[in-house]
This record gives sequence, structure tokens and C-alpha cells, in this order.
Amino acid sequence: MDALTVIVKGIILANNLLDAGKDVAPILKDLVDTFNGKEPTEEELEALEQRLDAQLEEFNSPLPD
Amino acid sequence: MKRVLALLIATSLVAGCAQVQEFKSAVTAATASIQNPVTKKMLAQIEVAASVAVAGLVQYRRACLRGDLAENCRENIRKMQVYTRQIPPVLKNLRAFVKNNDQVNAIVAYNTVKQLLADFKTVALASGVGS
Repeated sequence: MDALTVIVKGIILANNLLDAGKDVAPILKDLVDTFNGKEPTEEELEALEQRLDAQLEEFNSPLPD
Repeated sequence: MKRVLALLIATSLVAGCAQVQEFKSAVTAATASIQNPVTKKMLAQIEVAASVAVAGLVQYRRACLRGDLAENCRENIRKMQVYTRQIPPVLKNLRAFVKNNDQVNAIVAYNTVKQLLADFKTVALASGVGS
């Protein structure tokens, strides 16, 4: 996946999240900070991990009948 | 208006940083198999990459459950869950290995997470999710 694809997908995702009433700022900030080469702090890494864990938990939960 | 604002913010944040090459390198680093030590920065990169991908899947699932998508969306979700359900335990190990600087196991776990991300991305694209 090239950088442009990632950017486009990020924008689509931002719009989808916005439509769903979600705050896009944390994801966009993580994208920019991480790919700018910034070393994450312990707190930032922990927040990122918690968000990813929550996302995986929601997606992986069994589908209701 | 909100949609336009989000587009402008996302574009300016990503493109405005004028470091697209580094951005591209980071994406490449987050998707290529490695043999080198796994740093906290690399851990963060793969977690961000996974977070973006899974956030898209969560939106797909929600739309599916609302009935906004074709009936086969449930089957698509189940196919991707085969891979995404393997991620949490490996990710948990990877985090511990990196934080304890257990590089031998960290490299194995890192490459496993990347392979799982690649696997579910393949299934997602084949199912028309995210296209």
C-alpha cells in the first residue's frame, strides 16, 4: 500500500467516523505523529493500545442473530 | 460542512507536514517483514496501521448490523474475523516483548502481527470491503 493510498483511506475513514459521530482527532494525530518519526511516550503508546484493543474487541465480537 | 472540514484537516495534517517520504517509509516499515530489533516506535507504527485498518472494519460491521449493506456482509465479517481474532494475543505478547527488550521473540511476534494484517486485508479486498 503506497503513501497516497494510506492518505486517501485515512480521509475516507475520517469521514466515516465523523458520520458515525466519532472524534477523528486522536486517530489523525496518531497518524501524523507516528509517521513523522516522533518517538511515542509511554502514555501515548498506552492510549493507542487501549484504542486498538477496544476496536478489535468490537469487531471480533460474535455477530448477533 | 463537517465532511469538508474533516477532509481539509486530514489533508493538511498529512500532506502539510511536508514529510510524505518519511510517511511512506514508515508505512513500508509497518508492512515489510523484518529481522532487525523491534523498537517502541515500530510498535507504535504497526499499532497505528492496525488501528486505521480495524477502525474501517468496525464501521463496516456497524453498517452491516444496521442493514445498510448487502446480506453477504455478515459472511465477509466472519471471514475476516478468522484473522482478526488471532491478533489480540499476539499483539499482547509483542507489547510485552518490546517493553522487556526480548528481541528474539519480539521479531517473531512483530512479523506474525504483520502477516495477520496482510491476511485480513487480502480477505477484505477480495470481499469488496474497503474498495
